[in-house]
Amino acid sequence: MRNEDIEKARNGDRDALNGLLESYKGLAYSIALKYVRQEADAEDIVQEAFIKVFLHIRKFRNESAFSTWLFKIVYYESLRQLGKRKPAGEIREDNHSYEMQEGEGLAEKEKSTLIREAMRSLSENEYLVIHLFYLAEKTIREIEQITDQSKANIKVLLYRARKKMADYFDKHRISKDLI
Amino acid sequence: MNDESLKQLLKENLEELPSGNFNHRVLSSLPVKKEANRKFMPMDEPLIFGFAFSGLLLLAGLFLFGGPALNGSIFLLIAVLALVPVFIILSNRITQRKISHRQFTG
Repeated sequence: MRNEDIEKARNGDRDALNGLLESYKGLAYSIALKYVRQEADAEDIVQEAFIKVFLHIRKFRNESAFSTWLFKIVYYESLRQLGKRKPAGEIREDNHSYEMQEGEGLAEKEKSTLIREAMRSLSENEYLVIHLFYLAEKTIREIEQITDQSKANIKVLLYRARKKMADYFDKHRISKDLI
Repeated sequence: MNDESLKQLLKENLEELPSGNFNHRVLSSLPVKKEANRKFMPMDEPLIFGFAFSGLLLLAGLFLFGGPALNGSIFLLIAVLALVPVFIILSNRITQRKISHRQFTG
């Protein structure tokens, strides 16, 4: 997102605000959904986050990227939502293992299902870190700002997420098709 | 698995928001920015001002240098011509204020 678009959004330009929504809503929603697992809750979190950010966008000083600010709100709102359901401070790191059928020459639909399963095999924090790093193109330092986790922890999560994805694809022999 | 393919994979598998009107819902929750109270100054006002100012200058010139040759009716005619734009502007502003007041109070 260009600085001038942020500037326009700061001045209340609806098109610019819409542009920001379009740019980040998919990733924000995916992250929230990974944590709360309920579509309606995830949507509420993203909606609240955007409203919060837009209402205070005039105070935004460009000290960090706009998306860093947004994802931090999404992350903490997701944790808050989770906290309502389970004891505070406990962040799930549960992994889901899915027994998939192995086979050569996977059809597109099966491949897509496998990819989704691979995504689901990531823990919430691994999912968050790998998406912020690759899709939002955040640096480790920025992810540290978003999550308030240590650099070492983030690197471990990133490594684990990458490895899990690679292992998953190797296991199901679809890596060659994807690369 | 290289970074680009992983990035592409993650991008293709982002979840989509179920609501089609999500953007609209967010934007409609925001307070509408009030437009700054713009002083009513139509484009033709400077021209009217210029016209009135020229008339007054002409009037002042005639009054100062016209001397006994100045005909009373010419003086009156120019005075009227110079003052008419001023009245137009005043009436324009009063009307505008009344319209704004009516719109505001409903």
